[in-house]
Amino acid sequence: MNDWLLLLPIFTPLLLVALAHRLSGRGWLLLAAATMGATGLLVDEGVSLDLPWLLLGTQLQLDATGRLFMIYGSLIWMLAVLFFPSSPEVGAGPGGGRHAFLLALGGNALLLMAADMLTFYLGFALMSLSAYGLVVGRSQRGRRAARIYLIFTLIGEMALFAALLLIASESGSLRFADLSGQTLPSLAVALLLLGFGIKVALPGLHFWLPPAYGTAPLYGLAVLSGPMMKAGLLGWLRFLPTGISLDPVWGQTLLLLGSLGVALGILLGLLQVQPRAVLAYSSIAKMGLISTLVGLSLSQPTLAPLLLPAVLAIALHHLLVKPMLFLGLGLWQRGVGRSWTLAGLVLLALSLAAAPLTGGGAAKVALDGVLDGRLGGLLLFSGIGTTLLMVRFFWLLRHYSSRPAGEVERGPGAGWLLLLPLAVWGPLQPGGIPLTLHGLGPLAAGLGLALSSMAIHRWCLPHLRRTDLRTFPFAGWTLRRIRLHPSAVTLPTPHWRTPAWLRWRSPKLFSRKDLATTTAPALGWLLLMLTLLGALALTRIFHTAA
Amino acid sequence: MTLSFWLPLAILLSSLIPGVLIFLLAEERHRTRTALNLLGAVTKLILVGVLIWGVFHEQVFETRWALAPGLDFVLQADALSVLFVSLSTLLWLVTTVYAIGYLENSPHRSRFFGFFSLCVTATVGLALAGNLFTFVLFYELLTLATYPLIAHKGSAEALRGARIYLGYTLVGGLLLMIGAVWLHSLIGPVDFVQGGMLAGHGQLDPGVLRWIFLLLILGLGVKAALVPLHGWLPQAMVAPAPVSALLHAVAVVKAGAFGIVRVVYDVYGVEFAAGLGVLDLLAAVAAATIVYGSFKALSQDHLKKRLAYSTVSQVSYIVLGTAILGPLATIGGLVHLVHQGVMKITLFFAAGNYAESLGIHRISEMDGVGRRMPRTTLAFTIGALGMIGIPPVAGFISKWYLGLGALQAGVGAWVVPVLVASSLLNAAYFLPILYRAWFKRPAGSWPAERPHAAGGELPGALLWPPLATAALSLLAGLFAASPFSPLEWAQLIAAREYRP
Repeated sequence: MNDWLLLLPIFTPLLLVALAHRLSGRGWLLLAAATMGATGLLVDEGVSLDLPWLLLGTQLQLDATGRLFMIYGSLIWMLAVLFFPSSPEVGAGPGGGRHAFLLALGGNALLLMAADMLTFYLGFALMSLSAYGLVVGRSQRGRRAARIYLIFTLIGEMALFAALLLIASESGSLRFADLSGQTLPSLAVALLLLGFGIKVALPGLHFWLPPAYGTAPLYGLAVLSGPMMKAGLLGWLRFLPTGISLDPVWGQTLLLLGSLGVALGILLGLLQVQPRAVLAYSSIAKMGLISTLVGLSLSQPTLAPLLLPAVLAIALHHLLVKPMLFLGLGLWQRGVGRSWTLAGLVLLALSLAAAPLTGGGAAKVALDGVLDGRLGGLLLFSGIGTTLLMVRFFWLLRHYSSRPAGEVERGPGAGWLLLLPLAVWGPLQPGGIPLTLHGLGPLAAGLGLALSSMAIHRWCLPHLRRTDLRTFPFAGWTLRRIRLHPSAVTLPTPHWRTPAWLRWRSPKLFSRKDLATTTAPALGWLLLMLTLLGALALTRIFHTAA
Repeated sequence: MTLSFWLPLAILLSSLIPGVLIFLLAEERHRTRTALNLLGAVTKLILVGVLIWGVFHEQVFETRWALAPGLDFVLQADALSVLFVSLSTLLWLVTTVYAIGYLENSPHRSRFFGFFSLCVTATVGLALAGNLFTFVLFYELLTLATYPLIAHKGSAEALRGARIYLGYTLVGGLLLMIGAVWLHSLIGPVDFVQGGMLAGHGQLDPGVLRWIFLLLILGLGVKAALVPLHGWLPQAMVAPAPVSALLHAVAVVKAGAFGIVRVVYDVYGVEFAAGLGVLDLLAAVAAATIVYGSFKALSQDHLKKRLAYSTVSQVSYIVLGTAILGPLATIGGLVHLVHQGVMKITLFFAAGNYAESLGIHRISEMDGVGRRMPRTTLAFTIGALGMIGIPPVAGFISKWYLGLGALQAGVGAWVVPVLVASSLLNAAYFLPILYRAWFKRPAGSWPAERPHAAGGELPGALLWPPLATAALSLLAGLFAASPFSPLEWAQLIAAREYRP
């Protein structure tokens, strides 16, 4: 009887979609999201359900990893429900995003419990494609962002389809259980890296993320940045053979791409003028770090059994913290309870930057224990970079003077506060949170760097401005205008023309409106420091990989 | 005479007799006509149910008459014919209901439903044909029975479309006939035998056999709309919606594809044909058609034309599956025969509903139609997602088996990219329609809105058929591994065709 409970979190949302046009309010959305967590809590680990007549033979199973993702993920899904407007907005698609939400929820639950490849693929496709309705905003930019999201998602789907065909044809089985311990065709591995790499936004495959995160409504953003993004990671963990040796080139590729993601996320993140965009790039950086760790466990199979739990802890932590940051930002912008919102955001930011005595810090301690000095440069760079990103986030936040709150809903704020402790100090680790100051180094270094750049901004720039900077190499390019905050951003006249083949994506990558660009010397200085550090870290990575 | 003799004949007569009676019926007796139509369709469905049960248990059903020495009229039921017979019977019932609703109060209904029944009789005859001679007979009957249906509206455009159709298919029929007669003159009566009958005639000149194969495929390829023989299909979309639906899903296009399957598997034998080297050419043509049709579909603004080019592309999946050696590809091709049918008929029903209720013919007029006609658009959405190959709709299962079959046969290196490209192209021409329908705001007024008596979006006879077929396409994919699903049946056929 217990095993049939596994169907509950899948069929509840899907049934509700069918009834959605008759239901009003948000309670039933909350119910649908809650069934996922309830199943994760109530059903014993290892329970499985065989449905040989469904699709091409479906097997569901609740394992330790899937269970954690279900419990923590469901919290974010539930919180996101509170951020739905109480009556459907016009222009947000059928049912104001409610249909899309339920379909994506059902897909998410399905993929978390899938014990065979096709079921996973079905859940992944259902989730990713219906998320279109969660990304699409009412503005022209929002629709454009959603279109880019959809194109990338479809390419990812096709890559996975081809990878699945190759694997199924090679191994003759669709079950993950039969898959572990088998070597995969190398083309399939490449396609898996591509297909799931789009979801976790590896550099080069990340172009969908900044526009989508920039314009998605809050409820969509929360689930997109939390549970859905982690589904890509879960895909790798399920499909890629961990623990047996694979052609080392794949592990190293992922290692390298992941570290590039860290660098790209941090460097581009610092240049953003929208607080949301800073958080978006921080997601790219964090997922880059996670990808690097997956890559490391692929290239060093003996390390994998120890490393993967630590990776899981970091992923779960990010799954909770990042949506909370986005939603907190939303609350701040709505002008809800400014003082405690700010306090909550600071705690979340500290936790994301792995400050001691937080959940992020605990995950970091566990990770450092496993890595034992490997990837030290990258971790340092990532730690400092994350701190800087958070400082940048708050620096930008102060310009968003919240509007005087008129009729403010209490639900979202209350839910956010309720989840805050778990997000800051979670996920619950077996050993609790260690009482050490381990990990204070990167945080302090990051804060120091941030302070020094602020000092430059404050005291050095007035002097610099008086000298003719164009005599310095690159100075005319970088120091054209001093603009650090959005209220002062004007569009500088472009003094180089983007080549035509680059122009189609220029609004996403290089839109001058969205970037503090290279025109802020304080930021430029920061970037220089970080680049040096990054280069240092990269040499260390190559060392580790070799 | 026993059941095994009478059953195939009875299945044929269950649509022939109502058809003839309807011709004799006065125009205004629509109740009697409706009753005859539905009685015929339901009777046929029941008879086919008996047939399925029998064939599953390997009973032999054969109706055989000697017309002349060495020239037999043969109806027989093997697993492959059952697949096609059940598809056409089921969809005939649905389409009849739809056509009754669609043509309410329009003129010439006796003529329409008479030819409609003949058209289905010919299709079922094709499916049950036990030798090449009988097949060609019904193939020609189908050509002739469909012409008045395409020209039904009587407008200059309709007559032109029908004339183009007739020109193409008569030439195709002629080529098929020449091929069939040539083959007959070499080896005598050409019966359809599982595993192929030519393999037993080892002394034949392979060069001649290749020429005959080319003739047969050219003749069948016209109806199957293989590039470059597809020109008639986009023109034929002037037909009324129920005719288009039947044309694209069951009758004409499928007859061509089914004929190719018959020739490859039951005349030549797939291994023998592969030995002749003719399958590679067929696979290449199919792949070219898949990609070409999708590309052409991209640029069409007329909804039915876009769907027509989509058919050109999708039907070639069946041909592709047939042309790749190996049971998995066979399963993929055969199961798509059914899957494409239910998905495409859904799309045409929906297109007909848009035209009927709001006067929408063009995709650019579809903004916000999802809010106005949610149930029709839901059906359209399921059909379109299935065409793209998104699980769990049926189209995914076809693509999965085609891909597996290609990898098994060692041609995955080019077939899988074709499948992926086709999926992306399908997405590129279907998803913008869905976006318009669901996410855009209505432009203000519809091209030609018709008032409806009931509060719902459309009368039930127009609304339920697309919903039913959409549900079928979803269920066929979702429960692909259950007994008596199209997939299971295709696996049964493949097992029998490759039986050592």
